[in-house]
Amino acid sequence: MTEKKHTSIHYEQELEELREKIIYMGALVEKVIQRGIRALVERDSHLAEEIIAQDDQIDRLDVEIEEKCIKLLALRQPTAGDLRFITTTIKINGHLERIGDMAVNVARKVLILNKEPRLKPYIDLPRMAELAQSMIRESLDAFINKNVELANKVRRDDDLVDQLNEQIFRELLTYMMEDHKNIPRAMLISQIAKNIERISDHAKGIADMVIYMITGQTVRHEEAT
Amino acid sequence: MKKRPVWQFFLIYGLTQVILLLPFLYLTFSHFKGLYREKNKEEMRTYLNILSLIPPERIITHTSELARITESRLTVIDREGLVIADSEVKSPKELENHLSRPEIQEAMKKGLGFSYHLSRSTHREMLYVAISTKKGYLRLAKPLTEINEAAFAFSLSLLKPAFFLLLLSFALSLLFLRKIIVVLHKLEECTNNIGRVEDAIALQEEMTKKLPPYIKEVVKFCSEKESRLREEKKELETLFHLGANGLLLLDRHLRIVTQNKAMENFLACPHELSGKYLMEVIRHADLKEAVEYALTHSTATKKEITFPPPQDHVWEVSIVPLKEETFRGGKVILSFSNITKSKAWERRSGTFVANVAHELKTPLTAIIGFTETLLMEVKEESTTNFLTKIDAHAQRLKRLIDDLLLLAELESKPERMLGHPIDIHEALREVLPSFAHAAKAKGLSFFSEVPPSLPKLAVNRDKFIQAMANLLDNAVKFTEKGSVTLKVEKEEDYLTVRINDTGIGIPAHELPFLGERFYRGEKAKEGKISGFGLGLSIVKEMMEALGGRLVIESEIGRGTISTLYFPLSKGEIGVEDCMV
Repeated sequence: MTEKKHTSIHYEQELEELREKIIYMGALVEKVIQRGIRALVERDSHLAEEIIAQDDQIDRLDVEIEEKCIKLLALRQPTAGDLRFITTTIKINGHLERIGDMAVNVARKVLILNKEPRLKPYIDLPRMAELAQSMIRESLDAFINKNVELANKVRRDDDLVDQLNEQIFRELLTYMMEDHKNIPRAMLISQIAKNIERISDHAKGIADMVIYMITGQTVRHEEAT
Repeated sequence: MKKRPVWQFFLIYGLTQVILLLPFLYLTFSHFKGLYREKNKEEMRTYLNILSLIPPERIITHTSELARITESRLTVIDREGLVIADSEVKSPKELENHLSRPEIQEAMKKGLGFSYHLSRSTHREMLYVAISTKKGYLRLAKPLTEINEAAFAFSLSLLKPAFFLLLLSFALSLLFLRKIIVVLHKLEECTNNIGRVEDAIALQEEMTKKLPPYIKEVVKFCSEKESRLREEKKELETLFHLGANGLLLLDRHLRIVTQNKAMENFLACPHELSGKYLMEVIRHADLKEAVEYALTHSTATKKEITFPPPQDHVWEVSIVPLKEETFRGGKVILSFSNITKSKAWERRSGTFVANVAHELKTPLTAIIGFTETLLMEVKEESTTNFLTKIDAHAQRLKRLIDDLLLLAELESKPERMLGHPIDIHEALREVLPSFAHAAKAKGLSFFSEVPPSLPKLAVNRDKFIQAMANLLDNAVKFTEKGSVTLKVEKEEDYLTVRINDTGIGIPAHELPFLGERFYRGEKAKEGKISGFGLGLSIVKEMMEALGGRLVIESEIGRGTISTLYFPLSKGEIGVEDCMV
């Protein structure tokens, strides 16, 4: 892409535009996640509503990027690095769109939670959410800067998020056992944690695709090293 | 350009000359051919005239001799057209009748006849001249080839000096061309060197020797201009890099064209930045949207962008689009300043004010409550007097604290300014009557012009009413005579509420400070008009929170127009007009 120029300036430009679009998509998703955490921690229903409203924009961009990729594949018959870049973009695009949906799920649950008093002060949940957020950021950084090392770090971080999820669940169980009135709220929080855990899985998916794009190796179903 | 050898120029020049010469030669030849024919014709006529004087019998006997003298073929023909004698035919009797020949026909009519045609006996193209005599006709004939050959020979004799002249001109042009080409080559060499300023002096010296002075002048002028431009560029570059604000210049597709040192430090990015997309370098969705907004609407905007931990920065970005006509393809400048610290300070001071106000409110409520109770209980006049004063001041303090709390709220939670769509008529009905009444009490006329159908406005109803009340309160307060008018209109993307008074007006130098907290105009201070100077700043904050704006126009002694612009489609980006 940037290292070697293509003979067709137009093709080069199309690839660059695609690259810019997918990064923008990443930026949008990052923003949504960031606001989702704020809505959760600060119990801000207004912000949660905004997040739900913004999902349309992400969905539109998702379709736009996919169409661009298909058009490039059909018209330019890319090979080697370009082909890997375009297929990776299609996959990353899918992951990002799913992350956006997860954020909407979190926002919906925040809206319900905010109608009731706080069950407990959040400690692990924001930590987990921040970790997931930094995983997305780092996976996108790895994509932009073609950094295999960073992509591997994201793959390793996924385990931490999984551990936090389990820990949160155990803690919520104690609340539920204490008083059965706590169960609906505890279930909601547990679902939020699950959603965040899914977000980190998608971030790991992006990191896998980045490694594939750079090295051509498929590491999707292997353990993080 | 490649150096062209001299002979190449010469060849082209020579070829043109030869090509020009060919038609000239042809014309000369055809002219001489005609001339020779005429001359021969004249000669043969003279011979025939002489021959006609000789008795025909003698001609017949001496045909061959006479033909030799006249250098042509001689034919004697009788009245009936029979050939009696011919210098080249031994038995003339066998020849056919010549009466039908064109030259004989002509001679029959005019006495003299000419013609060119193929001879049937000799099979050659001939010139015939015939004359009519008493006994018959005499005819002389000459082959045309002979005439043509003679003309050609003459033309050729002309060619020799022409060729000599041509050679001479070739030689001379070669000499001059060489000179010109040498100058051209030198000029080419020099112009190639013009770009390199360090060569300028050496170049000029070289030119003095080799080139005409006017070219030297041009080169001198150009190199001077260029060194001046370089100097200016250096100055501007220094300015560009010295600034504390990070500057980024982007093209229309949001690709980086250039950036200054401060920007490089901000980004702490070791990679080459130019040519990269803004998104690759600063991955922030709000920023891209703001830049795109500025480009499509060609308005300067400001945007605050926040980076989450680990960076945890707040930047203020001024976005200024540059016109397409002046900057090729249209560009946009982003100026970044790190406002993390001031933002944090602002937040702290805001929280401080809100906390203090809140803490003050609790004892104040107690004071107001007890004063009111006492006022009801105590009947003694002097005590009531004091109590009324305490109550009035406590109420004033309460208003101040309420205003401060509202400002703090607007700042920390601007989204609270939004609300479910409200009917403007209904909201205005709540606020207008009391001010209409207050205006009447002061002897002012009060008008309101609200169109019957208006779009609904997505604002917090209470806050909308408070904004209206603040503005109307100011209008009534600062107007001594005349009128106060409220006018609602729909203007493109905005719903405007305009409040027009005929009051004392605001001096021009005070206009920029309106909306600052606790700022009160000189007149308000002199006129002992009550207020804290928070009313307008509350309205201003409200409008900014909505993405709209408050515009105040005023002329001293003539009145003030305050206009509120409520955006109808709530944009994502709060646009603020920039000074640039």
